[in-house]
Amino acid sequence: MDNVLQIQNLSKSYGNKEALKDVSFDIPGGKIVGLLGPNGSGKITLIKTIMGLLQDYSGEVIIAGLKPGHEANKYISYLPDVSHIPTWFTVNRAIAFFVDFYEDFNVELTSSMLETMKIPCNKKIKTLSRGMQEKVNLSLVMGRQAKLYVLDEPIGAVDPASREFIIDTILRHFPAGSSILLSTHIIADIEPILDAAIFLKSGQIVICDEAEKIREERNVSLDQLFREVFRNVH
Amino acid sequence: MNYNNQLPIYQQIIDNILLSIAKGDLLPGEKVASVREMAANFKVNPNTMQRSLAKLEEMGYLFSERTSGRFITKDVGIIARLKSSFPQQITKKYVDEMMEYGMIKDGIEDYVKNYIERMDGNG
Amino acid sequence: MFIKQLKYDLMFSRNAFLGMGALLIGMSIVLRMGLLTPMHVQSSLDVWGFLSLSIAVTVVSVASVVQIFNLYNRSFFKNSGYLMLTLPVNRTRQLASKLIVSLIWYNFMMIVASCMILIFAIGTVSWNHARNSFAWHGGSISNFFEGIFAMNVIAFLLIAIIFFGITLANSVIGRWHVHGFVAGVVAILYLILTVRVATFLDVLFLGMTRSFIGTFMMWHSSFVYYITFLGFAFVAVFATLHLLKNRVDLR
Repeated sequence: MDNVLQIQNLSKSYGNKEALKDVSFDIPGGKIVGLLGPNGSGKITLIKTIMGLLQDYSGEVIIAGLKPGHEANKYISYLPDVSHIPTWFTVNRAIAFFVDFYEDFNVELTSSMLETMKIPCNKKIKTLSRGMQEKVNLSLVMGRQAKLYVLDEPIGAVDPASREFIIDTILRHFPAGSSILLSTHIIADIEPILDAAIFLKSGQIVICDEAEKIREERNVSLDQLFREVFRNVH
Repeated sequence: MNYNNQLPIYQQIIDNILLSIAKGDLLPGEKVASVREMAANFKVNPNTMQRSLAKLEEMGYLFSERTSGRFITKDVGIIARLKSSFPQQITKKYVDEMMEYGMIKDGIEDYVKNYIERMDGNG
Repeated sequence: MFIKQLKYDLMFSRNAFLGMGALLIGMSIVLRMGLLTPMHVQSSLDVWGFLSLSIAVTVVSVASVVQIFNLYNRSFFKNSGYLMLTLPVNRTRQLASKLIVSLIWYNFMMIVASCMILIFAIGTVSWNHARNSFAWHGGSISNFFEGIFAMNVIAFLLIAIIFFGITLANSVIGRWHVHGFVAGVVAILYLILTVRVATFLDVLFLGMTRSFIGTFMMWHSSFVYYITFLGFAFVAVFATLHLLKNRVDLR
């Protein structure tokens, strides 16, 4: 299967500080990969590089055969850690925006997700609760039929019931052959859905393996492994 | 379903589905939902679910028809063997534990009889 | 499509500018009603005209600058930057759209300023006197349009420098995140440089064309300024584009 994401020897420094050092991994189609690490591990730098928000790096980053930039962004659906959709938009306006700018956006899918979650679409996003805003953002992002989904802390600020719903939404709606890169530090809830996990520590990959293999060979959960690997990091 | 994340999840899914077949929650010949659907229901990765279903097919508990999907086996023999295998497993576990505790054959039987009689007595 | 981009950029800033326009016109009406004292029209015309003109232009200019600053800053460099800068749209198109929309709003604000002046003028100035005064000051239809053109050139330069300053303040050069203050200083110095170069070239050109007289020399003077301002504006735009493509970093 063609690789959806290919990263080779990616390094990025901010002056003296090495944010990423010689990072290499591939994600074939149809996989859900966890990007695991604490704050400051380089996850955000890596994601920004993939999204074309950082250009000054060394190494190779290839998404669906393209370099990062506005061309590649056609095939990537991005859910950042912040609420990126203008909050004065109504939900309907946000949907119209996605229809206008993304060819692969499936309006029916997003609308049905929002209906299931009982989200009032004519309300401004800023009038909705934090949990509902996250659900709106996720519905828009998963409504796209992209090749790569980059989800940065999708369940971070949400209550447990909503977490389950979000995980269910992700599992049901990503297209076959597409892949998901999921960055998180809340591992226990999410580990059963991961194909593989990349542990990033101080800008370097310390472990990069299939989830089930880690369980079979080391007899630990990803959560336990995470605590072990990052024990001395804040 | 709650998983023990320290052990391979695909195996836990297999065990769960076998139990459902043994208990009769899944009937012989019943159609199994798609991999996607199953994965979402079980809250696991679709590739993991695929691995479990493939293994179950290999073991003979599922069969697939190219166009119509996957089904629970109609082989009553294999299901009957499965059904009895659970009580056997549980018994084995119980007896092994009792023996580890120092119980011997007659003692074990007495404990079981007393317990069941008490249950009957309490209604 | 580019039109879509324009539509959204207009929409994003619509409330701010329409609101500002409504507020200013409303204020003018209120002030005007409060000043309904009989005045000696002829003698006070120039003072009154000049006063209202200056106030209107100053207030409107400051308001425009603030709103144009926000239009650009909020779109790219706050949380919505994570949406805008990851769209499948190239940076050139996005920047061009914002420049055009800013110019459109600037002209809108100039119309607001004109309305404000009109509100102050009605009743205090007679139409005939105003028309004669306009003509006496060298006014004519073509001058009017050149005036509009001149103001747009100046606006374009200022908008380009504002965008450049904001972009610079969000960029990483070498190993440093550029400080907002530094970016502001650079922007102001750039503006001063532009004016200096324009004046210098003007004097230079003036010296070279000493044999020509009267209005032809004045026309050349403006020409030098237009070319210089536009040139420096486009340099700022290209610098902004370079930063947008290579050096910006969202926090």
